[in-house]
Amino acid sequence: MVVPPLAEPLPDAKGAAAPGQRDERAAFSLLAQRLRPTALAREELLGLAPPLAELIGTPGLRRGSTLVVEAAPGVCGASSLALALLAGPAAEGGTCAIVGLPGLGLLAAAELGVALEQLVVVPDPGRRSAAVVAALLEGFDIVLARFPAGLPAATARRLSARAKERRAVLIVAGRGVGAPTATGPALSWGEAPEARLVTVASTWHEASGAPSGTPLVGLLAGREVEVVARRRRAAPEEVRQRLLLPTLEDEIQPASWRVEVAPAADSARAPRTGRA
Amino acid sequence: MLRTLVLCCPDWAAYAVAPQACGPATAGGVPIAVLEQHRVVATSPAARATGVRAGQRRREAEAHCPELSFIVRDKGAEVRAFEPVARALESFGVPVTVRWPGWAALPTRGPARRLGGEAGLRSAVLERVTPLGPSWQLGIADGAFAASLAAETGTIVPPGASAAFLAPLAIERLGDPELADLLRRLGLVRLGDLAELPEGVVLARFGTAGAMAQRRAKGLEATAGAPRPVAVELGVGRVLDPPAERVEAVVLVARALAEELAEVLARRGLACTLLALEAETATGVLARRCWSDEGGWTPGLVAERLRWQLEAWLALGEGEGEGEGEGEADGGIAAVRLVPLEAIPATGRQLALWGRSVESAETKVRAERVVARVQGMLGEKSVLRPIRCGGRGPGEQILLVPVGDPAPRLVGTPDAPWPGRLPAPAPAVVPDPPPPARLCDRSGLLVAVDGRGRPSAPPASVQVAGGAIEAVRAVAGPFPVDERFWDRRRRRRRARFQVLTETGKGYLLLLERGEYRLEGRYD
Repeated sequence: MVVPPLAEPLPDAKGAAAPGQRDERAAFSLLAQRLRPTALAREELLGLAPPLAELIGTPGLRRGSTLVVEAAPGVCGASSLALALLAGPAAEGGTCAIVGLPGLGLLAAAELGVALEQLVVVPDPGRRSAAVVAALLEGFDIVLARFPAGLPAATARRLSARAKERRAVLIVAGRGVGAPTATGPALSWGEAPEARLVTVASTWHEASGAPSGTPLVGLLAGREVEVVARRRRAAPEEVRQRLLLPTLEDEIQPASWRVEVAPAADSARAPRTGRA
Repeated sequence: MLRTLVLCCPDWAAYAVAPQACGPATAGGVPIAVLEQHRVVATSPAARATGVRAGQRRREAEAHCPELSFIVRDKGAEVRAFEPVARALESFGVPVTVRWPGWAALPTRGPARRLGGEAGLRSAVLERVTPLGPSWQLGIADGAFAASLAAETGTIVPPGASAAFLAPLAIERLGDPELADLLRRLGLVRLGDLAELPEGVVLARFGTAGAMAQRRAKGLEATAGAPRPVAVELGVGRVLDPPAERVEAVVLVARALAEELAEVLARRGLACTLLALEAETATGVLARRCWSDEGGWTPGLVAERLRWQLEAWLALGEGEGEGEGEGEADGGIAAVRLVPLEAIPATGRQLALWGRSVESAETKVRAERVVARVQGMLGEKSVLRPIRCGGRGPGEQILLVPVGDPAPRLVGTPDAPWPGRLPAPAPAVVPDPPPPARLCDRSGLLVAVDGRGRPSAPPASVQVAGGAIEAVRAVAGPFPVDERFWDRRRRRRRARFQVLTETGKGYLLLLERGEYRLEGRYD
């Protein structure tokens, strides 16, 4: 709720030379306008990187919505995409929870911009993932969760309804998110999610100057991933976009530096490694 | 055990806001009740006579006494009204500790000797405070807990007899309703029953709160190893320039100071139990009041108390004018200080779960409550928070700590140079445990890495978790790491490869003792 700031002083009864009835009425209507509680649309939106916003079709993640993120069979990129969705709200001070995804790389999450201080993880909710997610939706702004296969459609609908009621965002992790391989059936969710994001292609770029195809050079530097979004409300219904995810602002050094790592066996000359 | 005198007035909240109504009926005594969050917290004697009790709801209280009038609680007024009482007690020349307005304690040793024993001290104290308030209760015993229970009956418990005095009292007298309810259902109905149990068993079953309750029931200090005086000067203070004439001007400072103090104490792992609030006026008069709280002070609580106390001092200064020599607030408050006098090791849950960056306190509280619920469902160790720490592998650089546990002393700082660490981006999937993998050369043999960090042959194919064999398009590495080479048992020699397959998948493989594992997948 926001009361718009008082941009100009209210007409003062004492100050005006002849405070007619009309002035009074104008002042009252102005006052009423200012005091009317308004929920601005932008308060209902959580932050989102611009390219992702274009995919979803709203300038931010709409509170109360449910999203599905998954990869096409054998394609990469779904985990990074899911983490990138968390990054925007976390940067604004929102709280995040990750449920049932023990394999998600949290270092990568930090690199993508997720503030770790605002994140909690429930790696193993066992058979109670639905109950855990339902509880977390009450207190967290955004919950990324993976459910065991065969989640009843009714439970899925109930969770979406809970997210809507609690003004939280539920991101359901499908095929490939936090898993060693992107295999298995496509995720079915009880009701049509606000948007279903599917990564359909992914190409890694190597560090600059690395002739591709030559073994032993070329550190991974950035990746282009193609995402298809099927949206429920925005038009057109389906959009396809290429994103750089992850991307590095500054180019890393050419791959030749790798040889300069201290030789393993020569302990006497090895640099002092961290006091681990 | 310190002999302690406790002076308390259960009706203080009512007396402070309506002193007339709390007198006898002839002097204008009427039934009133003080409400906080729709429940009665204190009543006038006239109201009590009709059956109105603390803890009742408004409707309930009205049923007992239809002509009852209600007043909303004003804690600031309570502190202001109590200040003269605290002053009167201070005139005995010993440090006075206030736990809440209407409850004060002082050690008896010095004044009792001067005034002809503890009975003499009791009558001297009562003489001083009777004009300042109604129906005082006064008790003397070993320690503050026993003394405040002794105050209800106005007894002086002889030295060493506190345990015997407490034993027949009901378990509810502990002042912890939740714990008392549990103990009662377990058949421990008297304080003596709890005191008789073996200490280790109580600690194991009821935790720190239970152990503290048991020590109280035995007539000992609540914490084993009585609160220690803080050895180091930990006080925080602020000079106000120009001196503040009104409390509002100091309140903002008070809040900042309280936060500062909390941080100073947290850094040393201490929880403050006795806190002195000090204020200095522009004319150099120092006012000081000690407040005690067994649970430890939170910043909000400290700021609140400091505000009330300043109000009390300022009000007193205005009221007395230049009459008494003490005349505070001459020219306003020039400096404020918070000094922790006694502290215990902090054992409770730490307050700052979410760091400072979380926007509002409300968000934080909401999240914490939900986390507690999930912990109730799955166990204390089920909800984790990630912390960046030093390390080389993507999994080693994140430490997962159960929410509510303090962060361990980190094994290494993330910013230190970690030779052999791969640059960003980190793999978005880090399987735990890492599944087996194979990295082979053209002839199908595993690629080995020699002591100088060189591969035996260029890798040509990779197989992950028993899946399909994929052709390798590019490889970076190996990145050899020889960790703790000085420690024979914990030494680890490993080498990492970053592999990009022809199908466009990125893998981070870890070679250790001739075996490859999939440490991460660039997803």
